[in-house]
Amino acid sequence: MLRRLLFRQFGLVYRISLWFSRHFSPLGHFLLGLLMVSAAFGANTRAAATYQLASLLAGLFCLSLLWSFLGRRAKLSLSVERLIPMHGTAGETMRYQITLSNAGKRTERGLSLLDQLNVRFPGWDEFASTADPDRERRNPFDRYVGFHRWQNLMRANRGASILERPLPDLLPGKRISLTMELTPQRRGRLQFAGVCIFRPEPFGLFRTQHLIPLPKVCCILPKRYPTSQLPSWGGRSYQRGGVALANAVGESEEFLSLREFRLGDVPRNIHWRSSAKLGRLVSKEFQDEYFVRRALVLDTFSTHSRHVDFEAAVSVAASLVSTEPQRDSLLDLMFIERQAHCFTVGRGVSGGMELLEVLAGVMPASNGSFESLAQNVTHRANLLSSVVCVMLEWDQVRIHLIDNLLAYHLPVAVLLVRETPPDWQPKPNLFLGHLRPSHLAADLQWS
Amino acid sequence: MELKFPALQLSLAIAFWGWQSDMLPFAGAILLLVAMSCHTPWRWDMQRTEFHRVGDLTAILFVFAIIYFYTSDSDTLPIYSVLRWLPVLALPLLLGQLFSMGQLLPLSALFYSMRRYDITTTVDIRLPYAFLCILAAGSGNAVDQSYFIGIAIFTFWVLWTQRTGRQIKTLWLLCFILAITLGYGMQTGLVKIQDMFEEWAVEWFIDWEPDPFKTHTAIGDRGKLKQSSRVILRVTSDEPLNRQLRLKEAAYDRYSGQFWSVGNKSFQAYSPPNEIGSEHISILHLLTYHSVLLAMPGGMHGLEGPPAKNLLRNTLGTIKWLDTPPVIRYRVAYTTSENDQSAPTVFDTQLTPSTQKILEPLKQELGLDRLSPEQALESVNNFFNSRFAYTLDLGKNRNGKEALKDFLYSRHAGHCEYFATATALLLRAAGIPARYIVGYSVPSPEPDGKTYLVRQRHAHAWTEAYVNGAWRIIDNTPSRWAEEEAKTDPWWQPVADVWSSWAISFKVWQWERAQHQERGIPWWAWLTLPLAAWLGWRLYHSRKRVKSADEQNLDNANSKPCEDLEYSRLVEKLLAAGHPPRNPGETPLRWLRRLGLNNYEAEVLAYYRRRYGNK
Repeated sequence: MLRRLLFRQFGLVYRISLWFSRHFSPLGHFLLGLLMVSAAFGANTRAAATYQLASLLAGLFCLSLLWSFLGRRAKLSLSVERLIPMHGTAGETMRYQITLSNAGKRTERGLSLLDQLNVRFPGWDEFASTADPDRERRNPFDRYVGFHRWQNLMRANRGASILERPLPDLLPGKRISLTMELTPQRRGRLQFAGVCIFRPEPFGLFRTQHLIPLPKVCCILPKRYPTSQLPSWGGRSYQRGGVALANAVGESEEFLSLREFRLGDVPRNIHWRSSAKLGRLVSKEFQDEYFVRRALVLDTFSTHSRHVDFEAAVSVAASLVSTEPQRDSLLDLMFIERQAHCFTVGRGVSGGMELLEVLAGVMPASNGSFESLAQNVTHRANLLSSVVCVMLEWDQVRIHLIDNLLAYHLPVAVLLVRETPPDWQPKPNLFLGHLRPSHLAADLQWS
Repeated sequence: MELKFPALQLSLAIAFWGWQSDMLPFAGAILLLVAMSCHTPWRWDMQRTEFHRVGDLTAILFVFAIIYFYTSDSDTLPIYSVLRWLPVLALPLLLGQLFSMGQLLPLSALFYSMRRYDITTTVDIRLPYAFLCILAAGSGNAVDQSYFIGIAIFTFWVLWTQRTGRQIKTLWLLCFILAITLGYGMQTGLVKIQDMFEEWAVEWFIDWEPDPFKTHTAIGDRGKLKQSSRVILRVTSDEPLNRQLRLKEAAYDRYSGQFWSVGNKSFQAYSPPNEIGSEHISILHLLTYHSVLLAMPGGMHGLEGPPAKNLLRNTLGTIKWLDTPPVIRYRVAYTTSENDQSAPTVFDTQLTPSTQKILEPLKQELGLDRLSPEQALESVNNFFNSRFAYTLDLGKNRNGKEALKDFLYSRHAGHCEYFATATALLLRAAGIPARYIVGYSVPSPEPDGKTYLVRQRHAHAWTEAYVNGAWRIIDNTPSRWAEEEAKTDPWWQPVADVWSSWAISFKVWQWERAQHQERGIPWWAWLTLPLAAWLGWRLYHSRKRVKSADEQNLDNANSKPCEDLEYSRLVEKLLAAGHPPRNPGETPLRWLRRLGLNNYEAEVLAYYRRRYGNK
């Protein structure tokens, strides 16, 4: 009850703190603190003269506030553009450009700029089910109240933090370009809201905020690591199929060349234009093509407490997608979120970037069980050349799926993502890899 | 955003503090150290750990100062003494930065909670320290306007250097003058508001201001005291007391309405006797006010402790001590068998008509007119013992004038004030001079057998009757009153007693220390100071470096790049101006040349010299 009550106040505290950080300059913050301390010491005007310092600072702040209030309506003659890449990667610094031009008649001095990101406030359920990564280092009070945990969630929801940048003097008509930097803390959508321009009042204590809306979305891809080649992954196990129908794998024919008509050729394969040119029948020759079709199965059945493991599993999947060249093969990404999904990339369909975008947005399965994913994979097993399963657990349901796939004589690779080592038995045609989320980069180098 | 900070501002702020707070020798020493930091090549390679030690040292100094000032009991409030010494206490932080190799103070040095996390936020301590000096300067002169002028000049200087240049200088100056005028008006107003508030508060509080000399008392006053178990007196007897001891605080001879008062209010100078009695007790009294009525046993022969010039006594034997310290201790010699033989006053037999009317039926019933004084005392005693009970629970409040009537004819229950008042008035109705006495009843001893803790709930009232040429103590309150009241003690009373005992000991110790200021720093402080010295020594030897050129080269050959304040500022300035950052592997000088900023080359070369030596 008390924790719920405190939780409701977190948003208020956040907004108040945000208001102070937006409206007071660093010097203003410091002098505001000094004002309070000097007022406390000077409560008895006969005992100490610090009330005079408090009065002087109060006078300065009153005038600053008044100036700022009156200056709110003054129009800021700046135009702002943001040039941002479509993709970024979680944990890697991303640079982008912001261009400002002064369309006014006076030089703009002392301004500063803050690029704002949208943030979603966490709900109680999300807050209650999230573990604090720094729990061991917190004191009992912080653990109980959970404000740091709430702040972590806010940071994760925001996705990145962007520092405020002081702007150089902007002469009338001049255009400047700033290189901004941010490091995304998570994968997914990074939603830019707008650009805040801060204009200080004469004493530089308080400042007026001008918000220029510039909504934009950037896709942050999962963190990826170099991986070793999977033994079953690189096998040359062909499957009949046609490039033209690559998206729906099955038997089809591919045009190879033109040749003289032979008896027994199907008349619909006669190339009439060439036959007319040459004066004899010319027939189209076709050849059946066989190519690799692999499945990447991602286990999305995770809880909030295993958030780190789940993120590591997504990273493993993304690393495999990035490492594998899809020039001559198809790759099916299969997972369950709210429903079963299967995304295919490869020759003639689409590139790996699309698959990485899908992985950027994948969330833990909100309903259903692993059996539904197992059924989905088994159903397509006869179309596949090999299967890689990125698992979060190693239990009977998952073992049963692997046994079924092995029964199809498919090479199967299982990559189990968790800290504790599993107890598993090696089998022929089965590659087993244990990946610890804390040592992901090292564990992905198994050869 | 980086704050600009001219070096002279810090020196002037320190000098201003020294002048305003009469701390010029300390200010001079600090200035000397600040000047040394600019001209000496001595530097410490301060990493986070070293800064944390500096923060610990500062914290120890703060704790030491707070304890010291709170125990010194000087005229200045401890908080203002701490304020005055703030620049000295925070000096390690300033020196830590000034004598470092260009590093800034990490915030984790100030906030212990930040040390658990990898927070690398730093702060340039010079400007906060300068304002700390300005704040501490306010501990001195509260009347003169020199402080206001000083802080106005200093604030002007700081804000002028931080000016963004958006406004023209004239407008900026006008704004500042307006702000100063506003601030001056506010500070004048604050003084007036405090004056007005104090006047109002005096008028408001005067109605219920406690009466330290107990010039009058009313039925119910002692009852209020009985609700608290706070220790008031600590009585130590040379020998265990073999009978009930009452400590008389004040005597009253006039009764009107519900109130007892003193007929002759005048107090005369009093020289206490210095004779030897059969018994001796020492009384320790914690005071709230600077004057007190002494709680004395009957039959007093001698009094040691209070200076004679501060003692006054009235005709009823109440002794007043003026200008007392916060803790008083006095020793009394007395003989329990001897009673006061002073003659009664005219007030000791007076009864108001309304009181006579209330007592008349009872007087007739007991036949007090026909009895001798001894018989009258016995009759009254029997009357209360047989028909009355002791209680602190008096139900709903009665009209003051009806309280006595209600006690005698309806309720037949009450606490000591009712019994003492009724006894005194009935004896007067019988023609016996009688007085109403308030004081304390000394309870059972503590385990040591000689110490008696007198609590507020031991406040008691009784009667003195003048019989056979002497004043005799008449206490008709049922004897089980002490046990009844002890039942109201909370379960945590033993713990509270231990705490109370510590508080008394601390007060006594604090007061005794204040009497001997010439002793200087107490013994325990000498235990704290080596700790601070050890921290300082460890800090000094852990990272000391003498920056001779050769040694610098040797040091820097294998050391990782360290932060340089001046160079960092130059970099931040260039980045803020919109220049692209230095490429990986690009030297600062090549970076400048690529940007075409040759005018900054001298600064970068100076940075090279600082970091790599002259070669």
